[in-house]
Order: sequence, then structure tokens, then C-alpha cells
Amino acid sequence: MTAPVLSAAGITVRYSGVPALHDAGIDLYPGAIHALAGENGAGKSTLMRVLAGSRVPDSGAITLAGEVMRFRTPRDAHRAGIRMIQQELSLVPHLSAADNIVLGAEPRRWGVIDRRALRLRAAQAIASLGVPIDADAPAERLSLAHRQLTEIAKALAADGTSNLRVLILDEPTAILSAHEADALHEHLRALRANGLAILYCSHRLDEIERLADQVTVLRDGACVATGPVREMPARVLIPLMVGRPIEQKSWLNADSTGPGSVDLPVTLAVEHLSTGAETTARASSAASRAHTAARSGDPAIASAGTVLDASFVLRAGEIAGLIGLVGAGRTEVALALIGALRRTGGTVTLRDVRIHPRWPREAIRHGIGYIPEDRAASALILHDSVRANTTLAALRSLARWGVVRRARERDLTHRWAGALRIKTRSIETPVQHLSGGNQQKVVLARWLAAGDPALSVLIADEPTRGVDVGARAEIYGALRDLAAKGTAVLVITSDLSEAMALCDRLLVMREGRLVGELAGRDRTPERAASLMVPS
Amino acid sequence: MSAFAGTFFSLGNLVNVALSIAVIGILGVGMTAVILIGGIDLSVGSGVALAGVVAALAAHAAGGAAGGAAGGAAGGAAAAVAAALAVGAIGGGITGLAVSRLRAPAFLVTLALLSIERGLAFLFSSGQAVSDLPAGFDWLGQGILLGVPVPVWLTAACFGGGWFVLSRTVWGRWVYALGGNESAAWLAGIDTRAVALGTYVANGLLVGLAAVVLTARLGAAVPNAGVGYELDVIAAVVVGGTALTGGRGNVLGTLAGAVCIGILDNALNLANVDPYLQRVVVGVVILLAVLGERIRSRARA
Repeated sequence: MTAPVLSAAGITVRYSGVPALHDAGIDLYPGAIHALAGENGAGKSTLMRVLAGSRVPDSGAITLAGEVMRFRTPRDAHRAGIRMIQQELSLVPHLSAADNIVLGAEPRRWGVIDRRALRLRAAQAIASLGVPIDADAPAERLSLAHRQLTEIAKALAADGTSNLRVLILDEPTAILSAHEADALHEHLRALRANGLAILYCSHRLDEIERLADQVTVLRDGACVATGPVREMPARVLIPLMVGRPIEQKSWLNADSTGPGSVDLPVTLAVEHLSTGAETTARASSAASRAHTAARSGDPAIASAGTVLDASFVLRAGEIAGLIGLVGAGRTEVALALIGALRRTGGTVTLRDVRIHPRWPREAIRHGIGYIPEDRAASALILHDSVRANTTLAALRSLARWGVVRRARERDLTHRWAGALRIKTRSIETPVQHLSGGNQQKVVLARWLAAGDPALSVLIADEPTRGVDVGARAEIYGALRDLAAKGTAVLVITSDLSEAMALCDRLLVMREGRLVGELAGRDRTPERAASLMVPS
Repeated sequence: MSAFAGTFFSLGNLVNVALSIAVIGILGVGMTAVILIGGIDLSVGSGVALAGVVAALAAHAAGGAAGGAAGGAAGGAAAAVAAALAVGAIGGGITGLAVSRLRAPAFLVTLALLSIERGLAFLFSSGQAVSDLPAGFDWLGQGILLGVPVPVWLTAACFGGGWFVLSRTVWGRWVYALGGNESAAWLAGIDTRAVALGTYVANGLLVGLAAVVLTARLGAAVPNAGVGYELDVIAAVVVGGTALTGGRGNVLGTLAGAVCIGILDNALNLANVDPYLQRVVVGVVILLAVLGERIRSRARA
């Protein structure tokens, strides 16, 4: 085996005294993809940030091609040929793809930007990836997948020389559809063939299995195992990650494999639902943000961002899954049901009563809750406490004459934090200090607390995105409990294995239309996948 | 220096400090709420002038000049207070509607109001001080109740009420939620537009009250009253630790901020520091307070 291009050993990092990494080490080899696995809070991000120079370790050594390096800033790492692609993409929205690619290293002639050289360099970087990115388009108009590739092109074009040796990617496929993720993987394989060392962090174990050569597992800030991927399948990785055996169990209703759920009472009947692209309140940045996120898939899908003539029912006691590619209109269905997106047609009937919520407040009065896709942007007040976030939608019921009864508020928070096993030092801890999985449990707790005695309908949009394996099982369990109590649960998910494990019945959307409903024996991943993809 | 210390710590001087921050303090309570929802109000200084002028004119119209009959005087005082509060509420309502319904930036809306309200104050008063106000009205600025000036009581009541509403009521929690994450608040069923409008109207009412206190203390409404107050008020709020990005802070911090600036002004006066230099010192202290907050929040991150 060749020598590693980048080695880290004995890395220790403390955040205000609390160790985030303890004596961690990793070796990255040229021409290899090295996966980084671990639960939220295991220290993956911290390790990547140390390698990329954005965090100076308290102790430990980094060697690049045998030479000891001391990175003080990301710029130091850039000069050494190490680039990191953040989970939150960092393109300047109004600048063109080309301008973004050379940002910070613009070619200059007599102090003025040399537009021709700039375009040439950007075009070379794009060509080396072999993707049809429009170099003149503003970054905000590119699809998420193309934005991600633009980031990679930016790394390749760094400083005009192709000195890039190590590429670090933090959950690059978290925001991509399965389709787009496959395309990204192809590009990464090509880069690997060119001798690049790639560090790839992911929650998706199937993805690691398909893509990576090596894998390192982090747990509680320490590297617990490292080895070739083919010797470490998911059943080996998961116990290493969580430190306890996890049964990969099914969360399905006992009779959802048969035709049983048809007998359950219908809670919500949706008929001929259509939407425009207009949100109900211009006031609502929430709706437009959620909406833009949903729309930002492939712009080639002409009807993206609208729902066309969708009819379906949700039944009490059942978890239904709404699946489809990004841009298929799944989130728009949810937004229309809660009154965040204007309906242009169709009726919604809740237990035999027609309803027409004009904004989320009215939907909540009907007992319809919505867990948005992006919990940091649209669900949580990050600097506020677990308590304040949990009770946000239940304050009125906790108050007398407009004054919040604080003892009752604390009781309610303790009750749901306990029931969902939210790991937090206290209920007054700001939610930004919680792991992704525990943050998501807080959002779930909000709706459980608000829906006393029980919600009629809960719509959960990508409830386990960025959530680690252990917390994921707990969220599944909580959703199943909720259904068992009579709530009609609708889970929107891009993860087909999640849909198969959790949802009793699948509703498939494609290009704004509901194209199929799979239950019982028809509910197979093959059927689902063939319906999702445009023919 | 000991003479300075003796003067500074005398009860009379402490009451002086409290009196000197009364108007800024009352405005600070409203401004804290406005900044908590992620807004700003640059028009409070002009609002104080306009509300004061309208209040004085209303007192005259109600026949409550200083020499008038007792009944007329009481009616005049009541009319003046009502007029001041109404002017403030209308200003706040305009800002609130523009911000919550039309999504106009609060900075620009209130910048425009700053100019409009100042102009109206001069127009209505013909550029002259409006004096000769009813005695009952003057009492609100000059009276003493249980040994403490009335404006100090009013200021204390505003801080107490502001603290209670913001930290204990559902409405207050909605204010924090709106400033902390508007999308989350909206999706959690909070009527974000009503909360924003209500906050600006409440702030307007406090502008009206501040106008009453200031006008009553001076014994006359002056069209160029309150020039630059918006900056002093924002300084008190920010020094008190409320984040300009919204969602974080409280009125007790604003009280501390106002007291700090009040004490500093007072101490520099007593120590005979050159008034020009005083402005510099106050500015430096504000800068240090803000930088200190930045450094602390970076240490936390």
C-alpha cells in the first residue's frame, strides 16, 4: 500500500472543557475514498474541521505527505491542497457559478479582475467534472445538486493550480435526491481515479457500502474502528457506532402487510387537491422558505412546486408514507394541508367536516400538526431552551388570563422529554447544544405537547434527516405510538428503506401528481422506485 | 474627589439620576420589545415631540389653560394625556402595519416617520413652544408622590409591566419566538403579524407616555424636543444585552443599560468633565459594552 497523503494522530479537541475528540487519528490515502461514520455528536464534524484547518486541535499532529503541518485557518489548509465542502453550501447566491468557483482567488491583471482568465479557469474546473453547469447562471438558480458540484469545482480550481490533494465532504447527499446522489458518486469515483484522497462523512450506511474503500467509525469522540469497507457491512458498523446492538426492526403495523388497514376509519380525505406556486401569506417567509427548499430540486421538472389533482385519504391509527423525488410536490401537499400554500382546487375533509385552513394557526386548531423538513430554519428557535421550544405551540393551553403557568409548563416539558428520551442536561439547555436527533425529538415533542389529548393528523417532513441511528429508532417508535393512539400520521421521506420500515401504506408522487398507492403485497421497494422515476 | 463622592452618593443625586433616565427608560421598554421581534424604531424622538405638541394643543382646546377653572383643568389634563397616547399609538400602528402586512423594512419605515413626525410637530406648533399647560398635567412631570418624583414612579411601572408581559405572558413568549425564528413561530400557529403589530402599537403608547412626562416636566411642548433620543434609547437597549438580531434580551438589561448611561452622564457632569469630551466617553463606553458582548458570545460558541 502507498503511503498516506494526510495523517492525523492523537487529535484532542475540547469545547469549553468538554472533550469533542479524544486521541483520534485517521490516515487518508491517495486514490481512495475514506468514509467517516458515527452518530450525531460522535465528533465527525470536529475531526473534519481539524483536518480542514477551521479548528485548531488542543493536541495532536497532522502530517501531509510526511511533513508536519500546523493549520491555523482554512486558508492554510487550502494552500496545502486540502478543501472541505460544508454541509450548508457556501456559495454567494447572486454571483454566477463562474464567479463562485474562483471566489477569493480571482485572476487579476494590474489589480483588475481578468474576466477572460476567470471564465477560462471556471470552465476548466467545470469541464474536469464533466457536468453541464451553466457558468453564467447565478448560484441561486442552480439545482442543489449543481450547487454541490459547483462547490467541488471551486475546490478543483483553487488558486489556479490543480494542487488539490484531499477533498473532505460533510454529508454531501443529505440534501440530494437518490438520483442526484448517484450522479455525485460517479464524479467522486472519477476524482478518486485521478489520485485524490477523499474523506466522506455520511449517515447513510448503504451509501458508504457502495462508495467507500475504507471506513472509520467514531464514537464519543474516539476512533473505535477503521478498516476496509468490504469487511465492515452495516451489521458490523451499527453496533460500533451506537455501542449497543440495535435490531434493524420493522415499525410496521401488524396487519399492514395484509389488506387490514383499509378497515381503519378515515380521518382526512383529500380530493382533487391542486396548488399554485403562491404562498398564503406574503408575510410568511416560512412558507416561501419551505417552498423554495422543496422547489430547489431539478429545475428541469416543469411542474415542480405545484400539486396537480391529488386525491388520497389518511386513516386513524396508520402511518402513511408520501414518497417521490425531490421536486415531486410532496412538501407542497403538506403545506397546502396546513394552509401555508394556497389551494387552487380540491377539497379537504376532516372527519366529515370540510376544512379550509388559511394559515397554520387554523390547521392547528383542527388538530393538524406539521414538522418541517428543515428543523433549524423552520422549526427550532436554536438559542432558546428545550422547554421554550417544546411548549411553543401549547402556550395558550398552559396559560390562565394570558399568563403562562410555569409549573405546568415545566411538567409538560418533563413529560415529553422523558417519553421521547431527549438527552439534555436540563430542560433549560438551549436546543443548539443538542445533537440533531435530540433536536428532532424536541420538534416532535412540541406537537405531542400541543396535541393534547391527541392530534388528528401529524405530517412529518423528512423526520430523520441528519438523525443518527439510535435516535432514529426512537423517533420511529414515537410516531408509531402516536398512530396507535389514533392520530393519522403522514411521513414524507426520500429514504425508501425508511418508507419500507415505517409506513403501512405508500403514496407515490411524480411531477406534482399522485401516481400510485401501494399497500399490502404491492408495497415493495421495486414498485415504489419504478413509480417515482419519470418514464 | 471626596466632595464628588459625597455629592454623587447623596439621595438627592440618585433621585436626579433616576429622573434623568425617566424618558429614555420608558422609551427603552418599548424599544426592547421592538428589537426583540427583530425590528427597530428610529422615530421615537420625533414621536415624543409630535405627541407632546398635540397633547399641549389638545389641553388648550379642552379649555384647560393654567388659569382656567378647576374642572376645565382636569379635563384639559385628561385630553392632553389621551391625545399623546393616541398620537403614539397611531405612529406605532402605521409602522406595525407597514412592517407586518407589507413586509416593509422597519428601519426605512421609521426613518421616514422620523422626518414626517418632526415636520408635523413644527407645523402644528408653528415652530413655537406651546406652554401654559394645566396644573394637573404638569404634575405628571413635576409632582412628588411619597417623596419620589412622579416620572420615576411611571418609569418603574413601565419596567415592571414590561418585564411581566415579556417574561410571563403568552404574548411575551410569542414576541421572543417571533424574533428568534419567524418561520418556526408561524408554523407553530402563532399569528406573527398580530404580534408584530401589537408590539409596535405598544411601543407607540410608550412613546406617548414618554411625551407626557417630558412635556409636563418642561411645562411646555417644544417641537424640537427629543432630537437624537432614538440613538440614546437603542444604546440603552443594546448595552443592556438585547441582541439587535432579535429573540434575545430583556427589559431588566435595558434598565441596567439606561442606569449605566445615566450614571455615567451624571458622574462626568459632577466631575466637571468637558461636555464635548463627555460625548466621547459615553460613546466609548457603549462601544466597549457591545464589543464585550461579542467577545463573550464568541467564547460561548
